[in-house]
Amino acid sequence: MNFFKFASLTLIRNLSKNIVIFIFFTLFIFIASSFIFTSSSLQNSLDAELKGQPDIIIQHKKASRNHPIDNSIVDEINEIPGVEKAYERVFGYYFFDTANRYINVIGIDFLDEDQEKQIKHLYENFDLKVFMQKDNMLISSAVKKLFEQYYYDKFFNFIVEDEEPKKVYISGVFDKRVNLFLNDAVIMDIAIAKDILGYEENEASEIGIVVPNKLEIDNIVQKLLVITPTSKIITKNNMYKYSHELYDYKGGIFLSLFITSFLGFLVIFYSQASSISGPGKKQIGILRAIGWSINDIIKWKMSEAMIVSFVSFLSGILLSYFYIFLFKNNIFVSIFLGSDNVYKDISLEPFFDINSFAILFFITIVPYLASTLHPAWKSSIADPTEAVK
Amino acid sequence: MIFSKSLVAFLFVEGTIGLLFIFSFYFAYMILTRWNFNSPSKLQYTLEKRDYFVSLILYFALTSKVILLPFFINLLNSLSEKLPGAMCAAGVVSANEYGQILLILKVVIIFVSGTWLILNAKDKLEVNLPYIKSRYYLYLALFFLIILELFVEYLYFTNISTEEVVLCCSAIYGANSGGLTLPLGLDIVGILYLFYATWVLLFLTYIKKYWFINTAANIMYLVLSFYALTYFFSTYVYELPTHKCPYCLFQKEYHYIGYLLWGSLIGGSFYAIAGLVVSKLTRFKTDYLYRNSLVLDTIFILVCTLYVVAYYLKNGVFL
Repeated sequence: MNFFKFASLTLIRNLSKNIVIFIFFTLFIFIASSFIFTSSSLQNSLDAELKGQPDIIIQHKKASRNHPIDNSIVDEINEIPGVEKAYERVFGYYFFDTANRYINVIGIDFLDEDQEKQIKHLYENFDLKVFMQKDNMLISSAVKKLFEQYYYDKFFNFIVEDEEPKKVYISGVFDKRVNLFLNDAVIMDIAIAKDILGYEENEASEIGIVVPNKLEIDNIVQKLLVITPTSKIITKNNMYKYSHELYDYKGGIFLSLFITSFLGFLVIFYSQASSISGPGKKQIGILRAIGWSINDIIKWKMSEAMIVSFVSFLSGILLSYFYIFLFKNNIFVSIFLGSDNVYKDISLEPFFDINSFAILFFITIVPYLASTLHPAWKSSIADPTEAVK
Repeated sequence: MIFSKSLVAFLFVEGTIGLLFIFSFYFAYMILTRWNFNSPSKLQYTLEKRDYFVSLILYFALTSKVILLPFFINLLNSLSEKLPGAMCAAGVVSANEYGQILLILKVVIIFVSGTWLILNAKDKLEVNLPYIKSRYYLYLALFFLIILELFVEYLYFTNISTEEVVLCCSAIYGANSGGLTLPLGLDIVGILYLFYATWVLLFLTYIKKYWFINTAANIMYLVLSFYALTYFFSTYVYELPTHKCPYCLFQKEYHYIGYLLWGSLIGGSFYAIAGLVVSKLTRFKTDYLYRNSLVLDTIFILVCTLYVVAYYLKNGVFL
């Protein structure tokens, strides 16, 4: 402990020299941790989002592209033992020509209790009766901004094939907290959504199936294959796996690049720690002369490195935590979410797990300390009589 | 090839440690071949200084390795969701032939480097560094183990296929596995008798200070514990008679109890082996190392037994 106290005193004495290392190291940790925080927070939100999704999804593909699925099989699927409920899901992108933007149109069967429940938490004081009286929709705040730019503040005209433009009224803007995955979404009744997306009455985007007993999922998938042998069947586990792979992949690529650049920087840390000035040499010489052993000098030097790295580590992490979770639309989100489709109005859910912390520790502090081992030893073995001369 | 953030970080740190060892190898080699304490030459003086550097690197490497071990286990558990069929680290480890070797290598490296550090501390207590040769022979062994480990790690992680279906723990250790059988043709009750008897033997040899028998019993205890924990005690942790797995213990659902159990077990054997090696190589008494060993072994057996007792008290039956 005494070494730490002594080391902190000597660090403060040579403040101008150490502050440069401190700032650079903090910056490095800031960038790395911002990235890791963003990726794990997004992944966490996505996991939470997936939890509310149906256990099995059936899609119809033609030439490996999504194709409308015939909803007449819903009744047949409902007959399978173990299936609580199968229902059609309608969603898709509507191209808003004038603005050159895509809008995510989601159709909900408001008469279905479960689906209505999912919507209720999006929007306070949601009154179904009023909502269903005319063609209404709920929109996200980003979409609202987009519509307002084109003076659509009460309703929006969707251009529909072979028909008059479909006028849908804006009944409300939903809660800001849930904007991450519904950032570009508008929610409306399933029949209107079908109209806008060009589906026939008996068509849907996909069919969702709720299975209360998770152990039965594999069995039910086998039975579904008999009913629709050509469809693509996706289980919730597959969705989890896919999303985790995606985020881990992006995060891993960033980390590889980060490590490459950090390695270059370690050389600077190394040479900086190796170059000891005249007074510095004298200091070590005097300490050796008054009875410090080589091990003591090494301990002192390593304590210095530890203090610098831990203080930078903490300040870097704190800075990035504030930047990522308090500031909207930070640049790290755009790296992950890409495309500038509609105005981003995204604030990330604060999320912190011990694994991200460990990764940050291992890629920053461990190599930094490793780079200071040789300089610490080198300075400790200098001849004391030579140094004080 | 499998890819994740944790894996990149893990390989990076392992690579850094390997690099440090390669740096220090030249110094160690010089000390091993040129060391002569009675010589007044400049070379001898330099070598004595270089010894500090090698110890420093080993301290650093061992500390990093010990911190890295739980991270590694967590990494294996997190990779299991990427492999079809794997439910926990058991499937990931058995994904190819290098997994088991890697785990054993990791434990051996911790044993060897820990022993080195204890020997180093004893050596520094003497005036003329009398144990330096044995220390550096041990270093040589450690160097090759570390390099071998790096190779095995590379081969292991690059050869995990995300397409092939691997086995889950119930298939490897479960009732209908047929793969791993209990040693010496014993049944699980026999193993349990032996397990508790070995602990009594450990206790008695500690009191009587029969160190050699104590170390031998500790190795036996390690082997028996593996079987007892996997095939008997783990079922009480999971509260499921068919769930037999040494890796699921590390998961959150079971309060990360695996870290305590395996940590105390491996720590206990390490102290006994280190105690024997250090007492053979030096003139120092190593009773305190055996005491640590006994304490850790006792923690292991107590925690295991507590799970069984708690289950019995809660449910009134054994599994």
